[in-house]
Amino acid sequence: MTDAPVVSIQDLSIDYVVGAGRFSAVSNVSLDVFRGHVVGVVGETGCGKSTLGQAIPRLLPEPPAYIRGGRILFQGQDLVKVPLWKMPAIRGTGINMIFQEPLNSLNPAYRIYDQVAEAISIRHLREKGKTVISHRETPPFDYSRRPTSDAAEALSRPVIPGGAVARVARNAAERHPELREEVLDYLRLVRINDPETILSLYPHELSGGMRQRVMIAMVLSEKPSLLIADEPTSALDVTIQAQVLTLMKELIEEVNTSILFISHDLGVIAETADELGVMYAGKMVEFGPVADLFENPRHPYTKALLRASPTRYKTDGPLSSIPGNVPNLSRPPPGCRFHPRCPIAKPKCRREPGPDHVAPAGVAERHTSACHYAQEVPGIP
Amino acid sequence: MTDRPLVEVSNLEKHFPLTRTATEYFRGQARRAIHAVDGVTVTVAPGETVGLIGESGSGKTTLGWLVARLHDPTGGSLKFEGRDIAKLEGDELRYWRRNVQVVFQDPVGSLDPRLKVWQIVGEPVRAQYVMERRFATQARARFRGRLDQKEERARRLQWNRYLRDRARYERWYRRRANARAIRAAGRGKPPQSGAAPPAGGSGTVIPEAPAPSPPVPARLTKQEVEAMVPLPPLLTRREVRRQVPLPRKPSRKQARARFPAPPRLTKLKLRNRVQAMLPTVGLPVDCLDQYPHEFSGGGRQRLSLARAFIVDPKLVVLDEPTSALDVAVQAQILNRLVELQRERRVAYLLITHNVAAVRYVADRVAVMYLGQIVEVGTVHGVLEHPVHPYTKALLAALPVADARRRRMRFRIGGDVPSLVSPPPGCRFAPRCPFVVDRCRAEDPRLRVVPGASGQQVACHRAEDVQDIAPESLLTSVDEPHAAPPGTAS
Repeated sequence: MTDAPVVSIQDLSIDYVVGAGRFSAVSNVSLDVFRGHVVGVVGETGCGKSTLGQAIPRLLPEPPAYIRGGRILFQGQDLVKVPLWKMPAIRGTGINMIFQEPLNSLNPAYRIYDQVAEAISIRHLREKGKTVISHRETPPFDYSRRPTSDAAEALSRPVIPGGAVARVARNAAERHPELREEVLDYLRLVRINDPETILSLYPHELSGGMRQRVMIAMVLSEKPSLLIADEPTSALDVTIQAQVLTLMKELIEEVNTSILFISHDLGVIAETADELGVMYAGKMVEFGPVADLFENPRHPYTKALLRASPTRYKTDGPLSSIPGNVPNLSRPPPGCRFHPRCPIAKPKCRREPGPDHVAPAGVAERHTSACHYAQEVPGIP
Repeated sequence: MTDRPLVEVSNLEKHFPLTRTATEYFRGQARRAIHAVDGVTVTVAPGETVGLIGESGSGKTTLGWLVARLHDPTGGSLKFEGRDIAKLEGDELRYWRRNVQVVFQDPVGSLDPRLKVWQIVGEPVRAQYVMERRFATQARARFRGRLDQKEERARRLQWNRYLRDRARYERWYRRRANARAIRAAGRGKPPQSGAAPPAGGSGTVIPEAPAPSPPVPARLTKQEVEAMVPLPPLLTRREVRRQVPLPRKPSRKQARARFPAPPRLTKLKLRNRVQAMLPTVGLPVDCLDQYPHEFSGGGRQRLSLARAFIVDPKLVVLDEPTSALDVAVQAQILNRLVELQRERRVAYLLITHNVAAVRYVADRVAVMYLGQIVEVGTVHGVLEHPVHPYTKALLAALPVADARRRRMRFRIGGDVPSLVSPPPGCRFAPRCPFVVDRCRAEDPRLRVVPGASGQQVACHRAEDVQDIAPESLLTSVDEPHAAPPGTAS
């Protein structure tokens, strides 16, 4: 790993402030995604993995979310410090997301062609150096402050060409046959048979797997440097999920983009990711290459999670599960957050939080664990 | 365990009719229907778990709802403990429902957010109590009301019979009185007819001059007869009723004794019963007054379990009980399900697309595809040695926590086809890698395949494909793909 990471998250902490309560959804998470790598993030519901994924393109609703600290370094700038109204320029061609429910991410009122073509034409406009920001992402009007008369400040802002540009882009898409060819190319890239008929359909006329493939085509057509896939196959059936995963695996080889793959399914992660981060209660408890992490888990939580997937019959005895519940994040337990459920917890775990990014002995390179007693983990029955 | 199966489903069908468009209507096209469940045969023994696996749209949930009679079947037979329940209606159906409980997939949507735990879990108990009370009230009313009608009918009959007898008597009496009166009028008087003396005399004529004979008495009128011999007086209805004793209408007290109401269900009793139930599903007993939003997903699913088990059903239909849960919580719920079955000998119909859950909980497993069962047998048999190509595809598609599968690629293409008026032939034929012409023409039937581990398979080529391993449906990424990859980059 000589080149710089595509995105580097350093000590990121995110809180949700709800009423008087404050939930630390993500605390002190550090993560590097290198060029062409697929990094998986796995964890239970409420462990903060989706919050982490949405924080990178700053899609979190702020408030209630609040980035308490840390840095997200992307293309030489710290995304935490970038004002929100400048983010749309980075989203799309810079960072792009695939969400869980493809029907919610596609516009039900537009045909597939219009949606894919819009994505492509926006990229074309950006490649020509034009700024395409739709009027919605202008800085929000601050009612608390009187309008400034600072002409210099007004001139320094980019000229924001309202919704007309989007409309022009769409008209241009209809006028340009080469754009149509490009749309067809991307639909073929995601293995859609007979893409010509798909072009004039609406999203609701497609099956779930098809929708997700169109979504992937749209995302890839913008050629993002970082793709964040937030549970892209959870809403799909098993065989359709296998098809989409197969497609994603092939695209990873072909397109060579960096992916942050968020899922709660260890199996899905195992099939796609190169490296895997395991999150628990807002903390990254273990990180490492997938094969090594599965063979050689060095955190009690990872081990319990791996053993909890039911692969046995009723006659073989009860399944192993993790006793207790996920802690309440408004009052996380002191010390290591996993210690109330940990089989090897010791007094030190109650006092001190787990070490950050310590590589235990006997594991592969870049494999780190946040457990005080990582050496004892292989001994857990 | 008895030999008789708890649930017998044979050739069960559920077709949801579609509305015809105006064009279709005027062209006279037949009404189409979604064949959600199309000829399914399966049995569940008491205390057994049958797993139903399949993708969404395969009709597994519809089948579960049919067994619980939440849908009405459109064809085939459905027997519960030997009794046909496909046509049960009204109160009979309502009474039968205590045998079957359902646990739904969505732990948020299936619990009323405005009810507390004791109300949610106690709801089936309360509903049964209300139903039993209504039944008792109805039975009592019927018991008393039916005798009312009987009595009414008997009294009418009695009165009519009296009137008839009285009329008969009157006629007889009048005839007799008439005869008497005639006789009395004739006695001590010359024979009425001088012209024709009775024959048999000497033939001599009596010398006296004939006296003026009184007029021959005519037939007496009713009034004359009654004036001479009064009829007994006509009885009133009340007098008739007094003479003949009738069964009396049972009193309210008697009806209550015969059809006692269930013991009164107080809030305290209900709360106690819920409290006793909660530890068996692994919930703390002091959460009676909490609301469902205060629980995590696993806790909510436990509430659903408690609600299903509190009335001691014989069959529980588990509709995706763990799909919305995390792996660790899922393991807890599955363990609890197995324990509950051991304690209570309840039968499960486990509907899920999660093969791992079926593997752990089920005894037998049925694989559904597009409304039909393609393979059914023991869990070991079906999951270790699948015969049907679809079962193989399903097992191969499962993501396994094994980093070596990174290089693997799934070979089965295509989408699940539509269920509207499906074509004849095997439903999996359009996606099947082993398809031959016969598959597209002829419907395969479930049959035992020789050499397999005892399961029934609906495949024409079962003998040919049974030795193919599911893993062979995956290919390595390094091999060339059949379809040329896209040109865009």
